Amino acid sequence: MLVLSRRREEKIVIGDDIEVVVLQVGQDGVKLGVRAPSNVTVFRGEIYEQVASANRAATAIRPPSSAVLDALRDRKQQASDAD
Amino acid sequence: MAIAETPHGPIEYQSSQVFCMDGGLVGFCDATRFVLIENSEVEPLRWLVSVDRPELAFLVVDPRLLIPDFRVHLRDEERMRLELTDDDDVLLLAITVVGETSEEATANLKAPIVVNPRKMTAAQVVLIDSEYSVHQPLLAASAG
Repeated sequence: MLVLSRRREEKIVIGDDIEVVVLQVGQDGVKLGVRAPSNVTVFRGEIYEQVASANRAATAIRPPSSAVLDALRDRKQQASDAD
Repeated sequence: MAIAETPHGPIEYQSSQVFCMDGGLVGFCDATRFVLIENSEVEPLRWLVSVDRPELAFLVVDPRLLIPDFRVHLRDEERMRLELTDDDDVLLLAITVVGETSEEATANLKAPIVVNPRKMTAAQVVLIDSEYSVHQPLLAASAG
């Protein structure tokens, strides 16, 4: 892993169009600003892991049981009745 | 007409049905083109199939079926990515994990997929401050 020392307001540049700026340095945390193109998604690491792992879990699906589908169909029916 | 061989059987689709998720689904950056398939066997769920990687086939649900007032606040970058204008109506999809029993079934309401049907663009949006989880119980969702 590349390790770089930076002070407040200094930045690092990744590729041509991603910038990470150190905004604030505290006792047990730093605040970073990230500037990236709109097609680059930026997440806190733990959030990325949580969503990626949920997505992975959803690929190993079995066909839904009729109990689940029936309950959802009832709900849809109720919603359209309410309209 | 093209065919994607999913683990649940082949599905046919038109190229005009393909929408583009720039950057891919979270954790699957090489899966950027998807189709949404209606199927009476799983209705009101729908299949979301990656045409780049047809082994990735998800069952998705409209989150508003679970939470009638479910809302997504998009950040400017996300609106730009989706090429959304104020007049566009978006389509919301939550990825589900449905098992044998109703109790086990969950939907990811923390990171729904937002589709702009006008531009055929989509993004999986992470709602950082959401009260909902990535494994929100599917059928208890609106009870609380």
